Amino acid sequence: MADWLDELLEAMPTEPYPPDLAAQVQIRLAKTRRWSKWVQNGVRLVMVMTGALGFWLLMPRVEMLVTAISPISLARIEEWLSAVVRSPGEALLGLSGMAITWVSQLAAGLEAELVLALGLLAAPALYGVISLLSSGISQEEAII
Amino acid sequence: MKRWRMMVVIIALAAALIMFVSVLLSDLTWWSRPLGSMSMVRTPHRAWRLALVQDAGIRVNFAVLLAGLVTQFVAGVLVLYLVPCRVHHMAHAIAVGWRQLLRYLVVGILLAIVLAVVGLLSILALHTMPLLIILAMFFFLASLGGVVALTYQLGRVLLSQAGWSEGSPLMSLALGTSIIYAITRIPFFGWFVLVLLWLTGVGVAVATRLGSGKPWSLLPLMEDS
Repeated sequence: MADWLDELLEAMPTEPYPPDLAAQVQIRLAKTRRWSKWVQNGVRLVMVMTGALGFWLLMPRVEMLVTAISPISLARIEEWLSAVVRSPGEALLGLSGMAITWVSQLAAGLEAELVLALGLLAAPALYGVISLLSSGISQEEAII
Repeated sequence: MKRWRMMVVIIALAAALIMFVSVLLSDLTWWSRPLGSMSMVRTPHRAWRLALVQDAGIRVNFAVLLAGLVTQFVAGVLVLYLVPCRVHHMAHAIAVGWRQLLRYLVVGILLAIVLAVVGLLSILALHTMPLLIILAMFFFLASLGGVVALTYQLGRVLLSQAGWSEGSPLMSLALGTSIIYAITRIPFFGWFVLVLLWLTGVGVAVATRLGSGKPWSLLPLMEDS
């Protein structure tokens, strides 16, 4: 019964291999590894720079972002809970209305620079997550 | 082993003590109130004792403490019964060592950034708007699973060191829950620990692919080509 090794053996050239084949393979392998390390370091540098740029763009707008995000206070939650006790249907309608208002306010508050900063911040974070998750497994299984 | 048994008992007692003190301390109005005003007719030592029972703030604190502890434990029990294999995988992933745990924390922090940004940006388009809620739910559920695995593993390690590992896994969960809950009740520091725990929890859950133990991979898609 022929398996894949037999098939590989058949596909191999019949003439004798050159004496420096092993050395050539090792040189090629080292070159490929060096190149992939260079690429990896380059990508890391770009990601760090992207993250730093995103952070730098985001810092002056943090206050605006926090103001836009946080209209939800404890008093509002208490108010809503007492509305639920009084009339659950109305409270649910009120909540959906509040959610839509909040989302539209938040969307209006997101300036182009802020969107760009968030995007720049997310890219290296995602790269970091992928690198960390795939570093413990074989290259074949890794996230590509 | 005897030393470990003593240590487990001391840790459990310390957790109970922290919880008890937090009930008294977290309501600062009770402490700021002059003792004499609690009861003019009572003798001082009796006033102290009665104040613990009669003070509404402390009663509320005690109720909140009990409710939180029971909720956390019952949620853990539910997770253990619903997905025991996944909790087992996550607990094993945590048991590898501190470096691995730190890696999970970093994964959690980075994932929190990614999910927050994607959630925020998703509200800009109408069709991606529900992503904000879906991602928040995913983050919450993943963190819950991870934190349950963390608490279970903590209790399991302590009980196995003490030679009490033959008992039910619920014992490990109960011990882990009481220790972690007590730590999170410490003012200011507790919040910091809680945030670290949730981030590590989400990191563990995501790194183990929600406890499935399989790697994150696009290999099935590559096999098609």
